Amino acid sequence: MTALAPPVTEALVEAPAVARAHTARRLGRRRATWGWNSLALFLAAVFGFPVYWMLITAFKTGSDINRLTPQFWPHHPTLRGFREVLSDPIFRDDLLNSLFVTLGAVVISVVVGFFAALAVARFRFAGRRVFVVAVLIVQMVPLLALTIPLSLLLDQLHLKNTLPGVVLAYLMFTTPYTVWTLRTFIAGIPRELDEAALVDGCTRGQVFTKIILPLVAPGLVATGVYAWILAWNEFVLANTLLLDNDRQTSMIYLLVFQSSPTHGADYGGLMAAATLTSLPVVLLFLVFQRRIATGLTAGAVKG
Amino acid sequence: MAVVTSQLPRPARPSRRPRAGRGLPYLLVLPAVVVLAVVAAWPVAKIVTLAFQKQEGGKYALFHNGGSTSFAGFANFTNVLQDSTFWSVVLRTVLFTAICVGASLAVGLGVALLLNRVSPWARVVLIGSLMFAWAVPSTVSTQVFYWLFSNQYGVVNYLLDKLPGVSMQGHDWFADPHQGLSVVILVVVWGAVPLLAISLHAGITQIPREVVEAAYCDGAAPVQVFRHVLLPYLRPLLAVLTTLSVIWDFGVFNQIWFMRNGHPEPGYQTIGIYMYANGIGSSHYNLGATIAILMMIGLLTVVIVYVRQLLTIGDEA
Repeated sequence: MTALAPPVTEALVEAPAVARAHTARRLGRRRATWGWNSLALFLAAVFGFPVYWMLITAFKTGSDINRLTPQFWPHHPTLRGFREVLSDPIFRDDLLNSLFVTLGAVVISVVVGFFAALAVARFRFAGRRVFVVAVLIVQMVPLLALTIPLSLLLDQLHLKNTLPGVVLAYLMFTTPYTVWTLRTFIAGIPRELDEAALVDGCTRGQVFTKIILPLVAPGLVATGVYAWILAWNEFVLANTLLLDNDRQTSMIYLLVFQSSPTHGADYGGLMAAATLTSLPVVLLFLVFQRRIATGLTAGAVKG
Repeated sequence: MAVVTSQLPRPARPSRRPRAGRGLPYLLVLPAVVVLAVVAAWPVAKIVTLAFQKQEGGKYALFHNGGSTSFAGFANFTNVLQDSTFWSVVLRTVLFTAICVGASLAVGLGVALLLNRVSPWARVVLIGSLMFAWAVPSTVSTQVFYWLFSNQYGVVNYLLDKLPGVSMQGHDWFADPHQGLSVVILVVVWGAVPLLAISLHAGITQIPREVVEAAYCDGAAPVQVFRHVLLPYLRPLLAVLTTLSVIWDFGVFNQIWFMRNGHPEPGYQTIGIYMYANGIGSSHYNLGATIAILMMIGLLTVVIVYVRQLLTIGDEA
């Protein structure tokens, strides 16, 4: 059954009394399982409720949202919230900006991280250890602590208040992550494969394109997806570095929407915007969930 | 393939490797080194210098070619450390982090054990629900909780009001920062439990069945099995997850910022918010940098053990 269940060994059943006790225990276990299942369903409801509430609020009419007795199902489903948000050009611009910034940070950090990970996982060279330590330390540095110098940096590079500037700043937290995670994935490919290919007459370039690249492809996808989620959800840096109303990211849009007096209590619109903003990460998450879970802990747990 | 390799004569590697291998690794790490030097090393060096400097003239002069600065010694540090607000912020941050980490780990472990005990269909349902909670961005989940706990039409007040003897109609959760921060803690825990529960569940399934069975055969009670069999197996994983949780919860920003519409009152300020409000909000860049350094020192001393552990792993591969 499960790893934790006390073993039910049929061989032990000898005397009728034992058999009776055994059946009783089995019945008890079944009842217990039923209890645990109910608890699991209850917890599933608790954890799912906020997401459910976001969705149904987005589909409710304004008068149904503001009711002293809340409706647990949208009785007059409407797309008003979604229409309102989608017809806002700033929302669409911010979504595109988020897309640009996230994609830029992911592509650059995966490529850069992959090369570095290859070097660390497959070569011994002077300075390798220093590099590994540096990557780890950068990963520990709280992003918040670097908001001031990063905005000074972009100011000096004349990139402040620009999207490429935000991409550059995002590399601060995506690159250490990709280096570290891809290192684990590459280290997982047996060295014997490389050597066998070299014996069979492959060049180093061919070993790379025919052995390592295909085998590490799932790892690249998983790493890319998680880096995507990190960058898409980032708020502090974007909020510090982007100043114009028409050049912000979706996360900032949500805050501006919530705190603006005109939208203040428009929870229908807010929940619709929130739903649309989380859609690109939620979908990726659900598709790649297993790989994300292993990828996140792989670097830390192995060994 | 390994068999084939051993039967064939070894390739003349010694002559090949130095030629192809010496420059190659450096070429491969070069882009990463450049990136990290620009976006991490330079900024870290910059906050260190900022923390020991005093800005002459307008504080905005720092942007626009730097302005003139003077060496301030430890003046910024004594300024921050003598501020009683700073210490109350530190205390609040420590408590906030401890509660978040403790609660997420406790609930995460409980859910992991439950996942191991239930029928497969119930497991699928619970994991599916956890996945949604995990996938939602923290900014979004905060806004959803803000709405759930809204004083007028919030569903939480409505449900609590149904309980006998409880009157919650129109209760404002955010008037008192302690209650407000409790809601923030709920958001943080809600978002953190899925990862913890799912990795711990995976960890439990990797424990050999025989060991657990042997313990039961020897007459161990479930609590004993948990304490003496499961926990020792899970200890390394728990250590990693605890450290990661400390790092994440110590740096919580979005949840507090969004819960207060971008203007957290003093009672809501943890160290990250305090640093941001002082350093960026009121443009006291030198003080902000000083707080940032203290923040990093505080965090690094806590997680240094974990870094050591990771380093030994990095060395093996």
